[in-house]
Amino acid sequence: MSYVVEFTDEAFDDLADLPASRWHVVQREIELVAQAPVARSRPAGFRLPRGQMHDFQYRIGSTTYHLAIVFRYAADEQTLSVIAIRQVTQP
Amino acid sequence: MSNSAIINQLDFYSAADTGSGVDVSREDLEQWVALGLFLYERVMDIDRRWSTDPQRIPAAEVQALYRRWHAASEHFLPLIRRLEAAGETLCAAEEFRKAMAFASIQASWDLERIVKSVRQVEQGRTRPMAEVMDELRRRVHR
Repeated sequence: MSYVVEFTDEAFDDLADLPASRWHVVQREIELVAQAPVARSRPAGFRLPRGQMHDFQYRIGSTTYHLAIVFRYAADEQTLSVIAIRQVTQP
Repeated sequence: MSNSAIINQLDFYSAADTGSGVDVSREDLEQWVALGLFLYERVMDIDRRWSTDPQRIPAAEVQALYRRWHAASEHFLPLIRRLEAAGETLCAAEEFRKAMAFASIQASWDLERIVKSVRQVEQGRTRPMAEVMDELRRRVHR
C-alpha cells in the first residue's frame, strides 16, 4: 500500500522554484518513496528530528543534478508530509 | 558530543598548501581528495548519529561542519579540472564531486523555514500532492 503524500506551502514553493521540466522528476521520485519509504529514505539528521530524507541524482544532457526531499510521517502512519526540497548542480 | 576534533581536522584540510596549484602532482591531489572524502564521511557520521545522540550539538553546528567542508573542498575543484583538461584522471573525482553536491545541499537548508514547515503539518495546513501538481500545471498554462 502506498502512502498518501501531502505538501506544506514551503515544500510547494521549493518545488515551484525548480524549472517546470523537473516537476515530474520530483513527483515520480516522491511516488516511489511513498511506495516504500523505509527502504528509500534515511533519517533526516540535523535537518529534521524524527524526519526522513530521500536524496538522488539525475542527469539532463551533460549536467548532473542532486536533489533531496525532506519529509515526515504523519500521525496516521498513512501519510507522508513533504517538508522541504533542495536541488543543486554537481560541480 | 563535541565537534572540536572534527573542526580541527577540517581546519587542517582547509589550510591545504597546494601553492598556485600549477605544480600539484596527481598523486598529491589524490591524497588531498582522499582526505576530503574521509572527513566528509566523518561529518556524515556525526549527522547520522545526531538524532539519537543525547548530548548532541545544535543543528546549526552540524550544518556549519558541512559548510566548512564544502568551502575547503572548493579549493580542489579547479585543480581537478586542470588535471582532467590535461587528459589525466583522478580515480575519486566523481565521488568527490558527488560529495560536494550533497554537502552543498546540506549546507544550504534553511532550518527556520523547516521549523515553519513542520508547524504547518502539525496544524493540518497541507495540500495533497495531486492538488499541488495541478496548481503548478495551471501556472504554466496561464
